[in-house]
Amino acid sequence: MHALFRTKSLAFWSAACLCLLAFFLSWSFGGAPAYPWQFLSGSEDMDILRRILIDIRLPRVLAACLIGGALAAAGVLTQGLFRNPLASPSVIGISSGGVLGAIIAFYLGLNLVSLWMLPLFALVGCLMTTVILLRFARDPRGFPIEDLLLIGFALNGILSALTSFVLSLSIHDYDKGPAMMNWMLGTLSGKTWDHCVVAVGPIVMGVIYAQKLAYRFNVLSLGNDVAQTLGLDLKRLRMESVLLISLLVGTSVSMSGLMPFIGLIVPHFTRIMVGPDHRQLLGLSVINGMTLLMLADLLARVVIPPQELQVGVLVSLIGSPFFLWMLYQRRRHAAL
Amino acid sequence: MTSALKVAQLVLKVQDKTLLDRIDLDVQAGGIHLILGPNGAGKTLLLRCMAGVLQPTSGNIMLAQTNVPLPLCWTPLSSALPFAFTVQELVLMGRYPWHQGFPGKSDREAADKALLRVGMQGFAQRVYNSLSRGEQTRVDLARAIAADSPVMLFDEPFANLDIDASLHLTLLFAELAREGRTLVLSHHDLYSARSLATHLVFLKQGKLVAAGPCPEFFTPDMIRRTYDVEARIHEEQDTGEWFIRFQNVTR
Repeated sequence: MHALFRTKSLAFWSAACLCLLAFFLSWSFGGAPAYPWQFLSGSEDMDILRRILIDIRLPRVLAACLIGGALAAAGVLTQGLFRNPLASPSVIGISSGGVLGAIIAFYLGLNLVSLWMLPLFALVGCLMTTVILLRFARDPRGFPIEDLLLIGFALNGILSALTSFVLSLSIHDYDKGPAMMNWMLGTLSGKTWDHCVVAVGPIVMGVIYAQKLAYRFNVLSLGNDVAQTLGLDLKRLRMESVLLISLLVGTSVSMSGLMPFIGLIVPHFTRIMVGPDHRQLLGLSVINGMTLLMLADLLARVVIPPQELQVGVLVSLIGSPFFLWMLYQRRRHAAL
Repeated sequence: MTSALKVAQLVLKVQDKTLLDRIDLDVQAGGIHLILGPNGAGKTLLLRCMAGVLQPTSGNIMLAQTNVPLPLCWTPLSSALPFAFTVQELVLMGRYPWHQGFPGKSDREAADKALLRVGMQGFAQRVYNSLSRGEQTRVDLARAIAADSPVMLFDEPFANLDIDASLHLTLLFAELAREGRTLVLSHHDLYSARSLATHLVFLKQGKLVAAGPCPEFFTPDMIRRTYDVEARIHEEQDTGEWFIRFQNVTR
């Protein structure tokens, strides 16, 4: 598979322009008829306009940027770490670990104590799941995708069951129950500047640190043995990757609930654009992840107004057939 | 002669099974060292222990001190990569100890030279996974050459090659050995072993049968002790040409 774009800078600029366009569209359109250009025309209801565009819609769009970018980066890291293009935090269970952690925090009412509690619990959930996965995946000859998917299937099952159990304990609590359910389906509704402030640090730092590690994933794709003899510190790379993936997924999940398949779809399409070199792949995946989630959120807001679709449900609807298509393609190539 | 690599009382056990049993080996610097033995003798395991990617149960592997970024380079059997890297990208990865993730002009030149040496210069922009196994082997060899290590370990490098590529590779290995590098290869083909090797290591069921210079150690007795087959080696006194025939002992 050759890169779609002749030069990598062309790919970067195309993605950046699309991202800016998605940002502008996502900021401009929504349930209420309020548009940024009304600021220029000196509208009479400036306060309402400011309230809708600056206090409600803008943090929501920025949250979509942060979450989309973080999940795409986590997808690149997960695929690089497991040396498998079908691995992604949601497919192999890492996101479910984060959801369980966050739902426990919800159940204990810790989300009301501090905005940092949800990310913290989600981070611990992701961390524990990734460590369990790595215990299984430590095979010097590589890790077959079938095994990884089966383990992911099992982990997703266990974690979802535990999440449902915690949820069932709150089913009659009319304060917690609906809020937990709404959050779990994956939503960007109600995101404020405070949420963005909490998420921006871990996500930006995580992406910058991931970029520093990017080339090591190229070397790792040669196999554990070769990478090790080329001087790659596998133990350290694994540890750093686990922490980064957990940080990125944990922070995103705590903000928006489950947004499956972004970590799978985005790196795959970005590879088609620029090829597999993780140095370009990571940065560009972050941009594409931002674009995808902003557009998905826009769609979720405008498709059946005044109601909103859950963006997580929408992303799942796009992502699941895509995952099946990838599996099909893989089998087809194997058969040739 | 100085030692490039020493193996002392190496034991590798998995559960109760002993896969390598008290191996002592002194790999002298320079030359081509072939590890020979029947299937399951432990050739690849020994190489992986030498490469430091497999932890032995007991014993030591000692590598001669050098001040190069990569003292030892390990090339396993070719296999598909998880991502569609091009040949050039892959060979540049062999330079990782030199560029630490930031390949420069000198690294690109080294990669181009390495590809030229293995005759794959026209394949630089091809995707590695789209190549045949034989071509992949040659690219892996280019990666090893680009790494510029004094000690190079290869697992069955001739396994997927056609006769033309095999002859080319034989010449290339001889050239690398003449540059002063130490090459250690696991090998199956006894027909080509004698003309390829400068030293032989015979393994059988995880035990060292013998190790020594070639052709002195390439004898029917050594082959019988290692493979349980009768070998007859005919050598023309005038021309120095030789050929070998085998017969199963049990027949």
